[in-house]
Amino acid sequence: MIVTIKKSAIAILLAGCLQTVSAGQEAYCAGMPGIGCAVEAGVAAGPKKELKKVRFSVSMHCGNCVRKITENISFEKGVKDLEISLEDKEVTVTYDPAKTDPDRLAEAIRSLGYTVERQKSDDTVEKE
Amino acid sequence: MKIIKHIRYVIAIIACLAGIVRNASGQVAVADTAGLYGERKDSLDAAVSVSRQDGNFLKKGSPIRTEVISSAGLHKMACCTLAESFENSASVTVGYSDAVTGARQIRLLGLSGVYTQMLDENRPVMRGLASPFGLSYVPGQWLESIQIAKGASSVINGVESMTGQINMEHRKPTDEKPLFLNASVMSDTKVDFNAVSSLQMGYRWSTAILGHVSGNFKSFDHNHDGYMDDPEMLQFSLANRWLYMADSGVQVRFGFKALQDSRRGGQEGYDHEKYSLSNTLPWGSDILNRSLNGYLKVGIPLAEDNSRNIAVVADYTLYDMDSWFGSTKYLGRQHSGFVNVLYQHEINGEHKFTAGLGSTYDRLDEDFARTVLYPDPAFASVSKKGLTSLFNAGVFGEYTYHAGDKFTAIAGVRGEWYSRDGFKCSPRATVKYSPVEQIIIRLNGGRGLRYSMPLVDNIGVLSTGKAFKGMFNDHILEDSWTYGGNVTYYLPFGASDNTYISFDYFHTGFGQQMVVDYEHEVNVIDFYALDGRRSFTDNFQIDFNVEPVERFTVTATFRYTDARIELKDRGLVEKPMTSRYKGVLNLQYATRLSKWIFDFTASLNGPSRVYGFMEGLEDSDGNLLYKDGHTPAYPMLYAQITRRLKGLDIYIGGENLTNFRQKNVIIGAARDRDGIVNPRQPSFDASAVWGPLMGMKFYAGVRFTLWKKH
Repeated sequence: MIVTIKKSAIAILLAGCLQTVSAGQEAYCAGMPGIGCAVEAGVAAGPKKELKKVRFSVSMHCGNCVRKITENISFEKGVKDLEISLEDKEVTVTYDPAKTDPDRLAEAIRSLGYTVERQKSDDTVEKE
Repeated sequence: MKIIKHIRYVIAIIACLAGIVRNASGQVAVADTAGLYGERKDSLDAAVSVSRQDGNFLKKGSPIRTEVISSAGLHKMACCTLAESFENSASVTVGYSDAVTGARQIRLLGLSGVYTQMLDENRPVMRGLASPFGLSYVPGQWLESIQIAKGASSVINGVESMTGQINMEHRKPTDEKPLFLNASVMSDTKVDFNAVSSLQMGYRWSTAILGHVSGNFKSFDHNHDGYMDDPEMLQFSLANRWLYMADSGVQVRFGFKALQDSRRGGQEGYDHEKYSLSNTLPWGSDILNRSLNGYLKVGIPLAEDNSRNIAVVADYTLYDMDSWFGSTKYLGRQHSGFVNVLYQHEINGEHKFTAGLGSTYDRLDEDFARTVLYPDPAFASVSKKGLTSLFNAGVFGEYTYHAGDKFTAIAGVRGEWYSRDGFKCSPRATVKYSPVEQIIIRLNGGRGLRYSMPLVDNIGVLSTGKAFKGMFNDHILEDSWTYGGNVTYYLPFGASDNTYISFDYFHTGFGQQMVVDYEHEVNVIDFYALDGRRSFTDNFQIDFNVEPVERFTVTATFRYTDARIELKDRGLVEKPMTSRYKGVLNLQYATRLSKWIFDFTASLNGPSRVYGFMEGLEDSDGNLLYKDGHTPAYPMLYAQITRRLKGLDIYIGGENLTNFRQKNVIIGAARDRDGIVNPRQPSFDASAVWGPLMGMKFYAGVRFTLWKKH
């Protein structure tokens, strides 16, 4: 068991340092004690997530609507962030495309009793 | 003093002119009969593009300095009851009435909670008999928000609000939540269950059913003084609220609330039927409270744009309190009625007025008998049996002038006939001025009147062995003037636009007051009218709110109170048992989408002057407990972690994490045989409470919300 852990640690260390180097952080990594470098590098070695943003026009009319959408859509699978503007009647959802898509999000809002229209023009990509 | 008089005259003249003369032409009200007309103001305020609500904040648009405790604020702590909802606020201080009954009392502007008008969606509640335990009878989880308005507020709901108004907004029938459930358990074995169901039956009808059960399985005596720290309690309450919205714009709201609460405190094994001053059976209190409330609110628009409308508000409460404290019996039944008929007219964007008729009626049936060990037999036994009626009715008017967002002035007057005191005129005025967008200046002042109920207002006096003298069975009309102001400056930094610093000053002075004097004679509580003596409080407060980085909120507030009263044969003294200051720091951090919320609250509670008879008290080592005649300042810490999932909140937390407790809560000479304070002596006193009675407590709870789907 101990051997296995050590092997894993070395693998992370190697992969991490390689990744870190490729990220152009050699000086930072070199200045760290071995294990620190491994931890930092391990994190840096994680796959980059691409997040997307979609904007919907939603038939909201009051603060209760804002609350209802916030309380429900925040916990939909794949939702990473949410902005709601009652003034503009807009709901902007940042989501993980590996876990959900705009149609599912639109349907989730629709199931709360609102009409939903996707604003296709604003489908931007973010990185986490 | 002259300046004060001048200010009063000016307020009176402005208000009378505006209220009476303008009424003839028609007028306004900022006050919220709006509850009858569509979405409530606070709901609209919440309609901004945020996904997270502030917990406690100053309401920007309100002409009167109003602190809002939102649903997020109500979720910051265990908040089992309304009383506990104020722990984050420096404006309101919460304490115990005594060490026996568990009754909580608040102080606003340094004065007892009886001088604060409690409103349930703008209907006066917790009056008279319903007041001593009222704060424990509103489950925090039933509420959507609380608004604390400081100073002389609107005259529309009466002028019993001397230091301010606290309005509670319940969960609404129109909430699209068919089921809300909450359960929590505390380390002291207190459990609390709440269920709310909001149902909409078509467009017109909606209803909310609210249920509550709470109690403790066991009560403890952690300080081993022979008296339980908290009473054994069991409470049930059920409410049903209805809303009907007709196509014509007519709105009808009605509902009822039923409540039963029993609590047994003091020494374990107390039996009021067997207890007497001549035996050695345990002393305690045994209280059964039952209440039934019904209300009706009707709003009828008289114009298509609702610029003119009529509203009728009627409320009835039956309240029964059967209580025994050692050899004292207090059985009371109160019928309370409240009626308000209002006409509102918004002439244009600048001028509005409200005029109406209002009345309050209390019929109190009391059976009170008290026997104590006091040398003078004339005072050793006192009693009262019979009916008391307190009634007032009159007219009111309130005029509001708006000059855009920059300036608002409200002048109101209420002229009422009081059954025991004749006609009284109560003017009030409010000004809000915003010279630039970032600065808001508010001023207000006016008169407050209320009938005192000496025993009920001071329920702690029954948990003593002291003799009662004076007017304890009388009901004088208390008369006060409160004026003050607030400056709020919105600062241009922070992650939200709600960064502000705010300063308040308020002064309340009494023209007439029921004085409950523990210091006039040894082992006596003397009840007498202020009658020309002085009684006043000055309050200063500073509030600061900022969100330094996204989702991290810091709220700091500090209040300083100077409360003074002129007691018989003692002159002007610092008002006893009134803490000089309170500071509160609240930190909240929420992760993205508020999936985790971390709350931390620290408060520092300043010293209070103790009663004269407490100055010589010593602890078990022979050291003076109150060296300079004041209680020590003490800190309180609270922390809570909330995990939020879809439809489910799970929270754990701790209260009083410094484990601070008031020592020697039960005052009097101890018995030789067991070292326990003997309750059968005139120096016995369990009502001198200034600090926490319970030590560190932990709790865990869960909230489940089912949202309506379409």
